[in-house]
Amino acid sequence: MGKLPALAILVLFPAVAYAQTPTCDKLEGEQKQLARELLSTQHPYDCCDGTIIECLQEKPVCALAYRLAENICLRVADKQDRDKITRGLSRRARSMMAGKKSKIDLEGLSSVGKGGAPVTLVEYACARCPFCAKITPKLHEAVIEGVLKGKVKMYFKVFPIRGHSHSKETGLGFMAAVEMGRFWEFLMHSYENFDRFCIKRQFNWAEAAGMDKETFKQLVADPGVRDRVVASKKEGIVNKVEATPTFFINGRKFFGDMNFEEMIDILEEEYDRVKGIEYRK
Amino acid sequence: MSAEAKKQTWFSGLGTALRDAVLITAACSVMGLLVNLFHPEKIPYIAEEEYETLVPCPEPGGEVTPLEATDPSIHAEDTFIVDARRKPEHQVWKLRDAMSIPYDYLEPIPDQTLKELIRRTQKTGARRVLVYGDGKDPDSGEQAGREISGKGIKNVFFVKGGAPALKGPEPGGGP
Repeated sequence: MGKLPALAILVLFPAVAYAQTPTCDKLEGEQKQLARELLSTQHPYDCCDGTIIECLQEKPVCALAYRLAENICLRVADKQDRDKITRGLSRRARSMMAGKKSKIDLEGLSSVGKGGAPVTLVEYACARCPFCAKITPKLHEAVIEGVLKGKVKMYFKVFPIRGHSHSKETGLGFMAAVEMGRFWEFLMHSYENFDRFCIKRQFNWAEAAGMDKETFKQLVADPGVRDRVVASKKEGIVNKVEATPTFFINGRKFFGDMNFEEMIDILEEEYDRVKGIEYRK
Repeated sequence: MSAEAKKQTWFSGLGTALRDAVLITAACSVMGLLVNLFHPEKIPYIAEEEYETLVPCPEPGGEVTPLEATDPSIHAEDTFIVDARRKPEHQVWKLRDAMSIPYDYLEPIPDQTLKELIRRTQKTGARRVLVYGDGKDPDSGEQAGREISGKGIKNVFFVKGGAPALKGPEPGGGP
């Protein structure tokens, strides 16, 4: 009879440990089974040596284990299969643990976010990239007034994709806006009106972003501005940028899944790491 | 058969074809609805949330193989050579009868230039295209090679180290 309570504890304990993140708690049936299997086999790449579920049982709880558990359960809830989830986790680990940092020249670029923010996010993007047009304004907002406020400062590097129509002209436009000190205003306006683009509108958009139309036109045609765009593109190629958007977090290339929620999560993870926040309060 | 009768037959045939098309479309639609009705994960008739597939936009390009500047195939007769450096540099020095296609980091190689490249490789019976550039990091030769390869031209190579590697050390100690 004495063995029964011990057996019950053994059976129930993983469930207790499992029920520690909001998304994991909501899973049911096969999804719950898959999440449990992944949590019992995957390891956090920092902070704790055991499997994620083992790490969740320790006190204090490793912040990364909790973050990864929530990430796995979100992916399971999103109906991703086992392979896709493990591939995603592996790319995330590769992004966060890479030793090599890329050299990125940020001189003369305007950033958003607090100057002293410990995480630097650099985005290489094309002015005519539809994905960039969706994700960049969201990240901009998160850095200015959302969950990343005070944690992240964000820079943008022009990387015109040759396959995009008018990528050169719009890339020159972005760089001209940098020169005129109205870069983020122009970028937000251009991306908000992405589907209404035609090359002639670029000059009106410059005006709408608070720039003098004629000066903007002159800068777009300026060989010096062109050289800066070419230099930005060359630097991207050296840093192995092969598509847009490509993000660098504190100098490390990000290989993980490129969706807004994942980006936010990984930037918060980097903030915790830089600030030495290893355990959950 | 008179012209009038022919016209009548033609219209009658068109009418039958149209009727059959409508019937087939209707039958397919009904079948689709029935399959969706009994499907465990029904597709909603009206999208509940915005559907969009967003993937990063890749820089177009194809496979390109690096070659050492000392590789003997560089000097083979069936190798067609492309110089990706700027025109003034090409005019000062070039390898054999290299075709000048200056690589621009912002603009694609013009279609007309690519057509000319294809025409000349076919005319010379070349089996490979070898591109050399400025040898810098990034190397314009490698980038031009990628673009040429991405446009469907096979067997594209680039010279590691570009023109400086091909020329060898210059008198006076320069590269």
